[in-house]
Amino acid sequence: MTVNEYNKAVNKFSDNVYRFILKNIKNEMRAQDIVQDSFEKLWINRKAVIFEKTKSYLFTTAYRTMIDYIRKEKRVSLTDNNAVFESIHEDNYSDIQEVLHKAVSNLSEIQRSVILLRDYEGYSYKDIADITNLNEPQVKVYIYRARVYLKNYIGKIENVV
Amino acid sequence: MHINLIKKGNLKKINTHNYEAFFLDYIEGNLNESQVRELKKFLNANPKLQEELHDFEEFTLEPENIIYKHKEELIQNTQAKHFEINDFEYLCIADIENDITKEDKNLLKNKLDENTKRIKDLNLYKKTKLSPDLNISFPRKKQLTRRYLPVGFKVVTSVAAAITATLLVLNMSGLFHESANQSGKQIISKIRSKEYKIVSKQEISENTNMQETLISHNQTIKQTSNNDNNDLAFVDNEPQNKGNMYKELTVSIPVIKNEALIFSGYKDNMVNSKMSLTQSNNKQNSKELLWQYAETGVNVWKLISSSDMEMNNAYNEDGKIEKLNLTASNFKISRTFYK
Repeated sequence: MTVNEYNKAVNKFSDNVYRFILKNIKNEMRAQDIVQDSFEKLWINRKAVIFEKTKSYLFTTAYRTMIDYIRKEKRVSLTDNNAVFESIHEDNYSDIQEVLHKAVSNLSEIQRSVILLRDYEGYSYKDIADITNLNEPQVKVYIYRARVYLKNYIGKIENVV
Repeated sequence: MHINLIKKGNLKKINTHNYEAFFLDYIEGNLNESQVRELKKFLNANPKLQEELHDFEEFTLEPENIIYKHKEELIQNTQAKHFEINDFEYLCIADIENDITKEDKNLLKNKLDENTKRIKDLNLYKKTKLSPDLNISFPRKKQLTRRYLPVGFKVVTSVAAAITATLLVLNMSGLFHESANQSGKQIISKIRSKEYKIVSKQEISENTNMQETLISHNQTIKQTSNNDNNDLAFVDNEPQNKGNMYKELTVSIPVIKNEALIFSGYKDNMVNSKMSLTQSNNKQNSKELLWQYAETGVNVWKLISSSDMEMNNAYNEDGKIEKLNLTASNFKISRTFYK
């Protein structure tokens, strides 16, 4: 990868990687650090990474760095459906996307990651499997279950409204 | 369930106590020829039982063509079962994921037609598709971009650096030797610059009359533009001289033990200024110093230009250079000074 291609990658992918990480960890400074670290690693390994694979490399690196961070911080965000449904009555939502993003934050860490990669970036099951170090059927199961959860969450909100 | 008692050997000969079992096996075709002959012989002997056999034959049930209408609802999609979701949920998600076969698409359509309330569920699934918030952008983008050096510039400067380093390796020990003998002779430089001296700290403290100023690392240099006296001043938190216009430069001097860079006062207005390396009493110091500067210079160059050139010198315990190594992807120069 040339310097020029590296700079292109910064302009083209840094926002995407940042959004993905930020949605997962909800910590702006830490998300910025993770993105910066990922690009540092890309720069160091630029001779081994071809431009076409840059996006995948960045997401993979950022995802793994994020997982390390989450493990260090011992932040467990497992979903407690009952607690969620009790709390939704207290919140006011302006649109469905807001409701949806709230619901996404309640998903388990892995479900959230795979569904964000699927919807935000349009990655195939195989690409997501490569990034998250899972196999394709596992990715599919996580996505399907996450959709059921999101659908139920939205349904509850709509019923309340 | 019919049990063929006769074949199993439980009933060997037909009589008035076991004839029903023979009749049943006869109707179902389970008797062999000799048993059939024996049965007919028995019926001739007991004509009243012929009528009973006829009744047996009439009561034979034929299977009805009955179909369970809710079979489809009971069939579990193997995929859906795998995901721990029901068949309809699976079809909805497969549809919005573009992961649906034609058969499943038709099945979904049929299910929606059967029960229009399911359309609401499908619409809810469609709403689970996330879209990114494009207002969120990475704020440190500028910090990530790397400066691009034109290829020509990079090649020229790399070659220049390589040539300089090579010349240093091949010739400088002789040059220094000569320089040491001449003790104070100046090496004329074509560089437009002021007069510089590199001396040791000890030398400075011994020679307090020198009209030179000691600067420390990362100190700000201010150069006056006074026409009458082009002084080169080094100011450390010193209030700016109101009479002079200052041009501010920042230099970063590599850390070198017991050494400092001394800039002398301006002496004359010669275009070709002079750079001298004032030899201290210890002639070797200047030589070590130069190699250290060369090493630092090459490594700084590597840092700013992304060059793969590296200089790694080896020094002994006394700080004297033992071995010089200059490496790049396509060449390597090594010179041993002390064995």
